[in-house]
This record gives sequence, structure tokens and C-alpha cells, in this order.
Amino acid sequence: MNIKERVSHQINAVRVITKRELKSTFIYGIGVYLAIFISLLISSFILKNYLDGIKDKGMLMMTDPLNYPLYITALISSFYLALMSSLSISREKDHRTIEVLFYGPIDHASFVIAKYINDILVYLIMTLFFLAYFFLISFLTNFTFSFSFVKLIILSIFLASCMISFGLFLSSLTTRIRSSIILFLSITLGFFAIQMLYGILSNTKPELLSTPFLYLRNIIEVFYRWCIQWISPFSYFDRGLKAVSLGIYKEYGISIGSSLLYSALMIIFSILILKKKGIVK
Amino acid sequence: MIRTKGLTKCFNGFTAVKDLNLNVRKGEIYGFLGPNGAGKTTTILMLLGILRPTKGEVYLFEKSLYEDYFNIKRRIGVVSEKQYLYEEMTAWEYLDFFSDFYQVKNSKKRIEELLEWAGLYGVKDKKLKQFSRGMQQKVGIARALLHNPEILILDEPISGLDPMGIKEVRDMIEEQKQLGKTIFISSHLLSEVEKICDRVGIVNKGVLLAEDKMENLKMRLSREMEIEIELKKITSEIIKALSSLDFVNKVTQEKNLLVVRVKTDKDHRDEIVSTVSSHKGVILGLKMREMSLEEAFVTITHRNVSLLAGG
Repeated sequence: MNIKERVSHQINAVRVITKRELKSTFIYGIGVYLAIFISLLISSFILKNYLDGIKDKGMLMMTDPLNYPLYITALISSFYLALMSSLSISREKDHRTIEVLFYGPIDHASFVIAKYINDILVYLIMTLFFLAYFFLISFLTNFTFSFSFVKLIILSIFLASCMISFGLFLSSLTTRIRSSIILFLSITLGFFAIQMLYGILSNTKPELLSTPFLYLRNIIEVFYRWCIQWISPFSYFDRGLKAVSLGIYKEYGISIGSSLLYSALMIIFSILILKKKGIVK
Repeated sequence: MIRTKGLTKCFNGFTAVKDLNLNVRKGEIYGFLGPNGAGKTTTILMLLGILRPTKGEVYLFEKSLYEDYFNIKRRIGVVSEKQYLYEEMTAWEYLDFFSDFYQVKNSKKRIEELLEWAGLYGVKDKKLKQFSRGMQQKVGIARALLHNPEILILDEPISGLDPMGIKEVRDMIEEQKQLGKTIFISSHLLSEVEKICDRVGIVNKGVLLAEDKMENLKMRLSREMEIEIELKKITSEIIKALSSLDFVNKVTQEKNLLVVRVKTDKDHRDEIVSTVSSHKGVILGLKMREMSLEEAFVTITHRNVSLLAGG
């Protein structure tokens, strides 16, 4: 079989599975609507605080008031998608529907890519809801859309891509839904905890820390700089946000590039693991 | 159409399939028989490329599966014991999804045909989770036939079905054979397979013990045959005389019946009748009881593996 024919078969498999998954997410599921609702609810609380501040003090000292609510919205929806991705392969393994798919013309790469594309499309559709919401907010509050808002929304797609591909990677490691949830939550919470701890310790003056805490800070710093920073999808989020808020184009570009590289690597690892471990439960 | 060469699969030191050489010819129905855990499903998963063999090769349509992976897969239809459906879908949506997957032409017409054939057209918009086991099995069969495959692989297709369901599956298999399809059926329900298969392979503990035509296999397996003799009166002399014959293995009495186990090297009925008559026995009836394949199979797998292992 020549490469052209092979790719055409793979594209068909990706197209058909993505179509089914999208239908399943938006027609049969309520999770996505719940995630949109929660994201927007939290954003609304933040925006309400801003508005309360204006009401109390008569002004708001902030350049881009819509950016932080958008960041929170993107973070929650990406977290939801990462959780969904972490279940997507293991669910099919657990229910053994993947076996029926593999009776037919599909390979491991098409299967993983279809899952990835579906989740990215879900994020893009969610973004449409968010944009509509922020347009409405802008119209009602006079909070203006800045260029950095546009940059952040574009960047969020790449950051969601990191989260999704990370979820897929975890999903390829497990064969049961329950194990996927446990693995996902323990790893993401672990990352989150280390990141928080690193933030707290690195922002604390050394003279305020006792010797054991200084050692701990050094260890965490090394661990964070050399490991977590590159493995955790959250740190890509943080770097991206920093780049947008500082308005440094080079950093912004690096953030997009590194997110793409991270996603590609995670997808490749997922395919290889799925191939190695097999699809049978 | 289906050929394996030295196919072997090991899982953590356990050999599930060992050096399996199969050869399924075009247009035949091949029964792959064995008890649960014999390695049948593992073999099928290797045939489909779902499990990578530890050793050995699979050839479908005279090509290695990986030589033309996608095109070969499009020419195969598979029905497993359980259907593993996307249960949130309706029957129509499910078949529509797979027709798109296999790029079936005139898919709407084909889905309608298959739903009509399966008697599911009336419930096409019902969710699959609401379907009974038999109905789900039919959806699975319809899915496997959607793209008109040349090879049909059926893994325990009648397991768990009611008699009506079994008949429908058997009719479907025969219908597909008439259309020239090659059919590979794995089963442990031997009496059912016996009726439809052209050739049979018997596998146990991952080893192919025998592969032959039905009649030959039965002949090879049935090295012993039972003859039931109904007598007016059974005497100890008759039992003794029959037991002393060199082709008789065992004589047992069941009320007014004598059950004589004889070797199957030739027809011994003449000698039995003359022996009984010479001891003044009056024969009211005589019946030969051949071992069914199921009985033979039980013998092979649990009591007499060496019978076939030795050829």
C-alpha cells in the first residue's frame, strides 16, 4: 500500500471517529455544558468583584480586566477536557468498544489523533460560548477587548492542546476508567501542589525560612526547573499567561512553540504506548 | 484465504497459542473448536492484528496483514461473542457510523437491507442499551456484514443465544457461504458447529490437535463405537462370550440392553450376532451408536489428548 492510500484511510478513520465523538459530547453528554457553566460562573464572580470594586472606589486599576476571567475560564475548561481525554482511551478499552473499531480499517495513530482532534474541536466550540459571554460582558460593563485578550484566547488553544494531549497520554497507560481518574487526579494534584509550594517558597525571603525549609526550597526548585516545568501542562499555562501579561512577543512565540512540541510529544508517546500495551483489556 | 505459520503467543511466560499452522480455504466454513481458554480468541485477535504474535506469521488473502493493513481489514467482517456496542447510539446511528468507517457505498440502502434482514427495522431508532442480548448480537452481525466482507470471522457467535437465535445465526452463516464467503467460526458449542462446518480444527491449551474434514475427524476420533443389543433374555454366558471377543473393549448391561464397546477398525455386527445366537440369545434389536463430535471432543480435551496428539 502506498503512503497516499494509507494516509487517506487514516484520514477517513480520524474523520469518522471525531464525528462520532463530537456527537457523543454535545448530544448525548451534559459534562461539556456543565464545564462551560462552571467556567462562566467563576468568571462572573471575578467580574462581579471588579464591578463591586469600581462601585466602591469609583475606578479599577487594571489594564485588561477580561484577561484574568478568560484565563480562569480556559484553565477550568482545559482541566475538564484533560480529564475527559484521560478517560477517552481507557473508557474504550474498559468497554471493549476499541476492539470492535480495530476489527476494521484503523490503526493506533488514527485512533489517538481522532481523540485529540475531537477534544481540540470541543475546546474551540467551548471558546465560541466564552467569546459570546465576554462580548456580552463587554457590552454590559464597558470592559474593552484588548489585543492581549485576543492573544490570550489564541494562546489558550495551544495550552488546551497541552492539557488534552497530557490527558491522552495518561489514558494510554491505563485500561480501566477508575484507574484513569485516580491517575489523572493524583498526578495533576501532585503537579499543582509542587507548583504552589514552589511559588510560595520562592517568593518568601530566605531570611524568613529555617534551614530545613531552605533545603526543601532548593530541592523543589531543582525538581521544578528540571522536571515539572517541562512535564506539567499547567506550567505551560503559567508561562503563556506571563508572556501575554508582559507583552513579550518572543516569549509568546516560545510559549506557542513549546506547547505544540509538548502536545506532539505526548501524542507520539500515547500512540507508542497504545501500540506497545495493546488495546485488549 | 487465512493462513498462519508457526503462530505463537506468550503472556508473561504462559503460552496461550503454540506454533499454530492454520489453512482456511476460499469459500469454506472452518470450525475452530476448543474449550474455554483453549486459545481461540487469542488466535482471532492475532489474525486481526489486534494482538502481536510472539512468533509466527499471519497471511490473509495470501498477504501478510501488515503488507496491506487497511485494505485487508476492509475485506474482513468480525462478530464477537459480546458485541461491545456504543450503547448510547440507536441501531441506525451505530450502523451508519460503521458504514462511514468502512466507506460503504449506498450506505442508507445497505443499512435498511440489513436492518430488515435482522428484523430490527422497526426498532432502528431505539437506543442499543435497550436491546436484548439476541438483538444486540444481530446488530453486531449486521455491522460485520455492512461492507460485504470476503472473510467472516465469528468468535463464539451462538454462545448465549436462545434456540431461535441460534437458528438465525446458522441460517446467516449458510447464506453467506452461498455467497462465496469464507467463514471462520470459533466455538465450544460443538454440536452446532458440526452441522455447518466443512472442516474443523480442534485446539486445546493453545495447540492444534487436529484439522480435517468433519467425517475424517469423527472417524479418527471415534476409535471406539457402542453397539446396543436388545435381547429377550440376557445371560451371563452371552456377556462372557461377547467380552472374550478380541475387538470388544467392554460389555455393560442396562436393563434388557447390552452395550458393547467395540473397536472401529471394521464392522463387527455379524460376529456379535453370531456370538449371541450361538449362546441361544434372541436379538430383538441392534443399534450402532456413533460418538458425536461433541462426545469425541470431550474425549480429546479432557480424557484422551494423546489420541490426536499422536495423529
